[in-house]
Amino acid sequence: MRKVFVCELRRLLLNKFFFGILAAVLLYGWLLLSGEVILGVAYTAPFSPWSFGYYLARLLPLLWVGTLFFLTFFTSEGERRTAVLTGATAVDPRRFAGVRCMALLLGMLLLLGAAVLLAAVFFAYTLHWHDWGSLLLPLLAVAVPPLVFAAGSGWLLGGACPWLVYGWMLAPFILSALPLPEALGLWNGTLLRSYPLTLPADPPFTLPAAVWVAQGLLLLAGILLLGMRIFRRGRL
Amino acid sequence: MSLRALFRVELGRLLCGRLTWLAVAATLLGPLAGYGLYRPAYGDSMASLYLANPMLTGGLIGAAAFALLMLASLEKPRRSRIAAITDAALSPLRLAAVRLFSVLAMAVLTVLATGLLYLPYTWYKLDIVFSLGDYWLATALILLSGPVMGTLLAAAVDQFAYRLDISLAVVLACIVFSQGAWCSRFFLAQWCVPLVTALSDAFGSAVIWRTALYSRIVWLCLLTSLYLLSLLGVRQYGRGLIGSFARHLRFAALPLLAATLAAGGGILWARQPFIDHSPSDWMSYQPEDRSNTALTLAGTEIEARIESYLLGTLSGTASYRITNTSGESQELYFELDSGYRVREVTANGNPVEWEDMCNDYIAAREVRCVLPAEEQITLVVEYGGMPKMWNAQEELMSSAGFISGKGIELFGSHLAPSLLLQLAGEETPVTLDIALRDSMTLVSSGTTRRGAPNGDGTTNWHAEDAGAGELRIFAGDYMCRTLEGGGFPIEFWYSAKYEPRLAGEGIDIMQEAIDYCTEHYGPRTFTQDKPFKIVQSTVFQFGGSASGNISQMGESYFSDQNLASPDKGADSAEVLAHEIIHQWWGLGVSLADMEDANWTDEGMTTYSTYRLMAELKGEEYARANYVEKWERTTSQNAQSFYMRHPEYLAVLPEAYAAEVKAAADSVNWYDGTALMIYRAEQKIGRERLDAVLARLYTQGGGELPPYITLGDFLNACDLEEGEIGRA
Amino acid sequence: MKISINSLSMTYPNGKQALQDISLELESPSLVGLRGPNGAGKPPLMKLLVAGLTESAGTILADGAPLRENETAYKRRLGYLPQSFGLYDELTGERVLEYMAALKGLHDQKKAVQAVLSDVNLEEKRRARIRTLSGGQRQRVGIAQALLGEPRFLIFDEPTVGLDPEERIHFRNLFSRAAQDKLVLLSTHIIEDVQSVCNRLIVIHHGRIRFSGTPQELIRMTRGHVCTFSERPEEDAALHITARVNTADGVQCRAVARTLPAYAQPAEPTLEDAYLYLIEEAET
Repeated sequence: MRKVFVCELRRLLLNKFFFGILAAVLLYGWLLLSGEVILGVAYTAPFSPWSFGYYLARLLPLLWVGTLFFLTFFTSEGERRTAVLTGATAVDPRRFAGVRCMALLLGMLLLLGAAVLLAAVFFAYTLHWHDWGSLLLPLLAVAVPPLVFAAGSGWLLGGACPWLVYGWMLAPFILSALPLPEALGLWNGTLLRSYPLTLPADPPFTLPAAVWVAQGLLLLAGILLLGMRIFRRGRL
Repeated sequence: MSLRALFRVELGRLLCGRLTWLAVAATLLGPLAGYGLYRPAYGDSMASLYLANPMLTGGLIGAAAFALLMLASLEKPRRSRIAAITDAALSPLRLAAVRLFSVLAMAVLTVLATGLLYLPYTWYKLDIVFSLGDYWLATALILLSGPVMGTLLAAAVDQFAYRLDISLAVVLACIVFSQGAWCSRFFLAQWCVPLVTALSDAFGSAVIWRTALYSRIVWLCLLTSLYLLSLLGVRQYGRGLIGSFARHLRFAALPLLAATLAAGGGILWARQPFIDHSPSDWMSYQPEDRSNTALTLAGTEIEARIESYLLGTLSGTASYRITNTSGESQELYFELDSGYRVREVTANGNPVEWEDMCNDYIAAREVRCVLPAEEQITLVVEYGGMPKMWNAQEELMSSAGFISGKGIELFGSHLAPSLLLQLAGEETPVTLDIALRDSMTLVSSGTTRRGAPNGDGTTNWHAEDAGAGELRIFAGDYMCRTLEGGGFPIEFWYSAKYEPRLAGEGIDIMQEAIDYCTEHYGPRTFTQDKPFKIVQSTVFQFGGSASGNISQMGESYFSDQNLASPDKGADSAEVLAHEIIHQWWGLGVSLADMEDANWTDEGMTTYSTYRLMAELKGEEYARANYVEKWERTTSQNAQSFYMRHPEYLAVLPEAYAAEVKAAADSVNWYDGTALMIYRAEQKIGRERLDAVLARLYTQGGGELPPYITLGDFLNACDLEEGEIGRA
Repeated sequence: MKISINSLSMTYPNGKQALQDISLELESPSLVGLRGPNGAGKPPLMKLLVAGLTESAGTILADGAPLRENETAYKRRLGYLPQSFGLYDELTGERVLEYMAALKGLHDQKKAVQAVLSDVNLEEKRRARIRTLSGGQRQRVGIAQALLGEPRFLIFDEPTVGLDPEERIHFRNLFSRAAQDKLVLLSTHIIEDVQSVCNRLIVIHHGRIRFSGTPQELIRMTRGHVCTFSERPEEDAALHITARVNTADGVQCRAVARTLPAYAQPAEPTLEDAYLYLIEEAET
């Protein structure tokens, strides 16, 4: 299955689209860093977990779109026609789906990694700052749960109808324009701009319990949906 | 084959598709989001809220919807494999072009329907300020722009990429990018919908219509050029992009036309006539002092003509009576609006050499000439052009001077050349003769006199002023109401459109502010000949300003939205009162300190506005809306990372550091200084503070006359340095 | 209509040579069958004839004029049905044909559409949307669009795929009628189609013309190279067996070979036998 994994990964990454979205993520990331994050979010340092989390929250719609575009390789009409052939082989459909899931998650992590690397380089260059370990917690809290959820939910929707994946891409854009409750405040970055102001100066990175619960539920839902896709009966 | 027949069947095919009706529905409903969900325009005039925002939002949504329709229209033959048949009947290039025209036709029809749909509601909401002409201009230049540009871009991208997903991603990314902070700074960067910061209710939105039309022409040239190039890349003969491109180059007309349009668009971009070329680091730029003290100005006579209300151009002849006491020829600089060009300069009837320095700075540039050695010189400068906007104000579309059929505002070098020399005295006269449309009334910082109609739809006006200040003129459908209070004459000039509305609280608050300041600080020295004038001005001034005996108020403060909701809070009443109070703190006396750059008129005016609101609306209201707000903003400012860690500010690249400093200064100028004065009040008591302020106002400062320094204030309050602070 | 193909070669960008030095003369009235194994070069030849590809070498003249330089005028006289094609699902059959009639620049579009609908027996389904039609009905719409406007040169690539036997006979007759005053090029794997109506057969293999003549000529060439025999597994490996029939006396085989074995009985060749023998000889 290693060969299949490499093949699927190549399919996802070695195409014009991936490089296009990567360029878009890097360009938008740079504009965010040099326009807003550099000033420090909620009066914290530009390299604080809050500012970094805000940066990721604002990049989230692009990363979400990127993740769902990876999924279109697995849910398109062409893929359905090919599935007639792959389904007739002896490969265990669960292993096959698992390999695809791994390729998808790796692709998603590569996009996310590019954004993180950009921020790291930016902070090192402008402020000579290098304590990158402190950025791990906001990365895991802000970016990972929604992207895993995107993967799981997008795959479920794409299985029903390929065009739903494209519609689902608009979800974070719509959410970022709506007034959201605190638990969902990470979707438009407003929580990270307002919550630190309620804490003492330069607070360590914490989030309200409701937000942790919401992010946890998103992550769990994403894992469950991916699991359902992998372990469902019948062919992919 | 007949193109008309092709177009007809392709349009018929489009009308049978569900996606077409989805795009139509999205465009029809799109403007609804502009009423509340997405409001790109800054201004809060009625036209901004109920015309600009819906049209902008509708245009953006229409751009996405019709881009998607165009992509689907190009993708469908590939997906349904009918291309195998159609390509054998007709060149795929022609078919691609017909498809584009069909989608464009659908876009035009949809926008027309949308315009008709929202017309009644917009008319109802705008009521007295509704203009049918402006409504259809907004529909054509703003709403229609999105679907047309989106369709063109989508067609071009798809014909290069031949992939629906990539093309859609690129187009959507371009739409989102166009609404980002970077593009908002440059009107020509807005490819999808034009940059519209506001629309005027009463004084016309010529600056928006002109820049919108110009930018649409530029982008039509560029996108059409891109499209024509992409047409060459339409796949044929089994070749890819490069092969098909090479093959289609034999249609020489296409690449030639593409190149011509691209060049045309590029030239129009580079030579845009609306924005000046001031240096981007204007804050640190130090213009040279080129005043010539050997020359003295005894008087100025200006004759101006509006060459075109449509283009907003003016020409004029300015005569200056100058005394040259040096006995030698002298170099003289004068400032002129960046958009004006000098045509001729004569001294005592003889042409003199002159040189345009081309050094734009805050929408003006210097011109140098050499005056003869004669003692008495009559310098005549002929000039003309269209006033330009300072590039730092481009994202607000706010111009120091403008000319249109519904409103004119000009002053200083934007009206006539402003000479850099000494004035003969405090009362150096300046006169202006100008012909205006019969429907316009001239308001100036001096006196005005209506002359005889010329019989060609214009009437002559004469204005006179004297003093160190520049002549400032406004023209529009102005009416005047004389206010009482303060013992000196006050004229309130406003657009006749607001006559039915102006019986309410807006006028009362202005009167209260005048009475408060006169009672607490002393009267302003206005005369019957030079009365205090409050002039309603265009929404593009974004708020208000004060200069000489004129206090300008943006028109939106008189809109139904504001005047009908006096309980909105501090904002609406504050701005009216704030600008009035600037007549005392700012124009009556000025605050400055060499060691504390944040000790400004704004802070004192803000504090005085608080005191006025405390009298009018109660202490509790004033405390909640002023003092607590100051404490909150200054506290947050002090908490700012760079304020607490200045070592990082030193490490930061210069451009970023300047932005951080500017943000902090802005808080300190207004809220920080006001809080300091409030804390002084807390220490010494309100009565004593009022006495201090009255004394400072009438006697001026001692450390740095005529300015009142922070030291003067602390000494007068018997407070030590550091006893009151901003944080 | 006269099509002259002179020393035509076509090489794909990946280097694969699709056609090698093909020279042909096609002239109306004629119904020409085009056969060859998969990958022989039939699709590229037809695509070149519909100006869908560009040749690497050689020329194609239509009525003496170079096809490449008179593409628009040539396409007005062309009707083409590819093997793999689609239609606009959301339109009715009538609307699709009106669409194609407009593309072809026909003047009296309604009359032209009515005529072809009648020819292909789709009048009852004229107002049904394409997505509701069966595979065979869609094929008929495809044939109808090729016939629109009475083109002088018709190219059909596997036109009777998906049609039932009755329909196949109907269309064979239609092509035959059309060929009475037009040039029709018919690419098909169905030998009966060629046998019944084609007055000329072209066999193409590995990009070269292997045979160009009447079907009778090809059959005559194969005489003495076709036999029948009872199946002998150990000895039959050398023969190219074209049919196996189970009979009461065992399995009877039909085969083609350059030299017939002694145990086999010579048989009168069919067109299928002749085609297979030709291809086998070309392979060796």
